[in-house]
Order: sequence, then structure tokens, then C-alpha cells
Amino acid sequence: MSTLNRPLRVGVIRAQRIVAQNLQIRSVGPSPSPFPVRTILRELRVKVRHLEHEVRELEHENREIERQLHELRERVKRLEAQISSGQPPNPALQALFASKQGQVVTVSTASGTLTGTVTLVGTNAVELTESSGDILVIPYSKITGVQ
Amino acid sequence: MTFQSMLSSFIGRIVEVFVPGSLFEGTLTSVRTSAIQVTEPPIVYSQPVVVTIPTDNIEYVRVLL
Repeated sequence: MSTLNRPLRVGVIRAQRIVAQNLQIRSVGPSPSPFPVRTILRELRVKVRHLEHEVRELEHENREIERQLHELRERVKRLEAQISSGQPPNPALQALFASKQGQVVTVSTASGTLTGTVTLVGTNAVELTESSGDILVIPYSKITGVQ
Repeated sequence: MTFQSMLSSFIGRIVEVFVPGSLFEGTLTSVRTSAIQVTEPPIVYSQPVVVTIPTDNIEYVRVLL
């Protein structure tokens, strides 16, 4: 039998019999962890949220870059086609013929003068319909004058 | 709409293709980015002649009615 007159801080008491004049038992709760788990967890959650935000921003940037890349590829394809065809677009002539759509025009080329109604205006060529019903397709690059 | 796409809609039609100093007449059989092909009708007892014309040489094309 042991006698104790001071507070005893233990986790488990094994005894067959306890005799006491004044016995107080109270739970003091779990002892503080040497690692601040909750703080670390909170910081990690904040970091995860930041990283998720960064990932979303990077995904957005990636989509924008892919869109620009697609546009540039299409532009390169068009330029390659223009170079290999030798017939570049001519926005000025295109606008001129667009303004004369349905009207009769006379077009000069090195091979002769052609007259017809403007029926189709393209980026690098125009289509005229002659009075005979024949159709002329003339690249802008070969036009020396328009009346 | 480009020169090639305009011509593509006339494949199978009789055309006159004007290039500097020459004229080719025949059936338009092929249109590619850099060249078109015209099949000239056979002269008696001979085979049709397929002429390939670079598109950058073409002054204009007349599609006959």
C-alpha cells in the first residue's frame, strides 16, 4: 500500500483498492503535441489553394498560347500558299472590285483588255462575266489597270 | 475565295488559259496551289495532251460557256 499526498499526473492507474479521504479525478485533456499539426495543416491548405489558383491561371495562359499558335499556323499556311502560287492578295484591288460588284468594268492585262461584269471578288483574283456568257478569272497580280 | 478555289469550281469545263506569249485550250482537269492541268483535245489519231501550267504564269483564264 502506498500513500500519496500530492497530485498524481498519470494516464492509467492500476489498483485493487483505493482508500482516500479526498479523491479528485479530472481529465486534463491530451497533452500538447510537439508538432503544431493544425497550423501546418492550415498552411498546407492555403498553399494548395494558391497552387490550384496558379494551375488555373497557367491553364488559361496555355489555352491563349494554343489559340495564338493556331492563328499563326493558319497564317503561315496562307502565306506558303500565296508564295507557292505566286499570287499574293491585293486588298486595294479587292476593295475596288467589291465596290463595283455587278457593274461592267474593263481590266487591262499584258495579254489584252478584258471587259465584263464583276460577279465574284476574291482575295487574289476577280471573276468577270463577259457579255457572251464566258467567265474570266483574272489574278490581281496580272492586272495593269481597271476602268 | 482565292484564284485556285475559283478555278476549282470549273473543273471539267472547257477553258482558255492565257500565259505570256501562249494560249492553251482544253478541259480543266486539275487545280493545285502551284499549277493547273488542262487536257488538250487529241489531234486526229493521237492521244490527248495534258498541259501543266504554273499558276504564277497565268495572265487570266476564260471559261467557255
